[in-house]
Amino acid sequence: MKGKRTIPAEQDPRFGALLTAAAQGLALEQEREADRLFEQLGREPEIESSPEHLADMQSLLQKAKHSKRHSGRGRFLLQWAACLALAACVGSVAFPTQAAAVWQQLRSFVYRQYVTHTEIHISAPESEINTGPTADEFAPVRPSYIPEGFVCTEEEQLTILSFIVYERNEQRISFQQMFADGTGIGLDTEDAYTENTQVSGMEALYVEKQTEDSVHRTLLYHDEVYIYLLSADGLPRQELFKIAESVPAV
Amino acid sequence: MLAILMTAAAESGEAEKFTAIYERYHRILLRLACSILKEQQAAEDAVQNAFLNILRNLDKIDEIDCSKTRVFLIVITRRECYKLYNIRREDHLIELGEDLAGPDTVWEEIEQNADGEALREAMLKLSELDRQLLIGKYAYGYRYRELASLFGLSEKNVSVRLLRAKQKIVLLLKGGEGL
Repeated sequence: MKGKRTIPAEQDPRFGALLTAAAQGLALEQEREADRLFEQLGREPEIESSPEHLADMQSLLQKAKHSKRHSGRGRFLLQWAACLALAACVGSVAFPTQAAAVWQQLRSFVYRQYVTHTEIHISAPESEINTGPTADEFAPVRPSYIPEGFVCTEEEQLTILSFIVYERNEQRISFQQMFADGTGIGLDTEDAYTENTQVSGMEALYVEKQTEDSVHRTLLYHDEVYIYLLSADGLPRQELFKIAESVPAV
Repeated sequence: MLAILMTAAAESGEAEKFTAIYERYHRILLRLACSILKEQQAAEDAVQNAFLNILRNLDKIDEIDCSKTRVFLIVITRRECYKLYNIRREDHLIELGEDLAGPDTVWEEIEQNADGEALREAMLKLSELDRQLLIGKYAYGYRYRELASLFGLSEKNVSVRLLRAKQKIVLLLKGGEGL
């Protein structure tokens, strides 16, 4: 068993198992200690916060209300929830009997910009409804260009949409593709720079928003069948466009 | 209109959570920070930084009124207190260029000493930061990037510290000083 002896003890699975048990024991001890400490601190006389501190904390609470921090999947699900919610809205106004239909030949994407967000509504003539691919014909694509060092960390394909996440240290790129099936999308554009632009000849909306420690850039664009949403934290604008333009045409 | 409503609804859970944490724990954490820093202005700064960190890591808090959350808040607040006064006697950052070669000890050399109690004792001899990193990794299952965000370190630094911490434990189990 000479080969086995070359594994340093700290990398040995048996050490890992013991370490896990010991760490869990210490975690429990800490939790009990934390309970005791909080109980004790709760009994001590109140410290009057300074007005400046209270103002800072109120500002932080406000910031929390507008925070857009989500994990990749959380952010994805939130955006998808946005699509579904807005789909109901658009469908009820423009296509009361066909809200769930999958379309081809979309005729118009309407961008409505508000103070806090931008809504992108999709509408098509009623004659176009049900002429496009069905849900089981969803054909996912992915960018052929991803900046060096990024690795795919999440990937999922659902019935009528797909998403993929790439990460490099603290940087994250997410690419989503969904049927332009009468849904709409709400993008957070509060205090953000927005620009109507094009990606590979397709109409696009570029959003650039400063976050606490980075810049969050989003490109939303569409062809006649799909909507694409490409987002990245801390990636230069030109890189975002390069990624978007590397997505093969459907 | 609906977009903002559903966006707000989806996010309000997080905002409500943060507000609830603030209301439940702010005063207590301020007392904790005051007990460490002995100066209210500094304690307020530390608590504000702690809440900023909490906001960044809100997804790690499932339940507001539970022991795990209280540990989480204590660890973050203490860390912010230490950072504020640059108290790094034990918790100095590891230089990334540092030689990472560790002990070549193999399991058989420490197996007899490596019972749960010995390991617990060895972990208690680590610096608080290293111990919290190990607990976060092995007890709570945090990933490197999550630990990095929690403790204000780079992922590389987290991985180096964890490796070093384990090597220290191995040395301690072997009977050496290790620290």
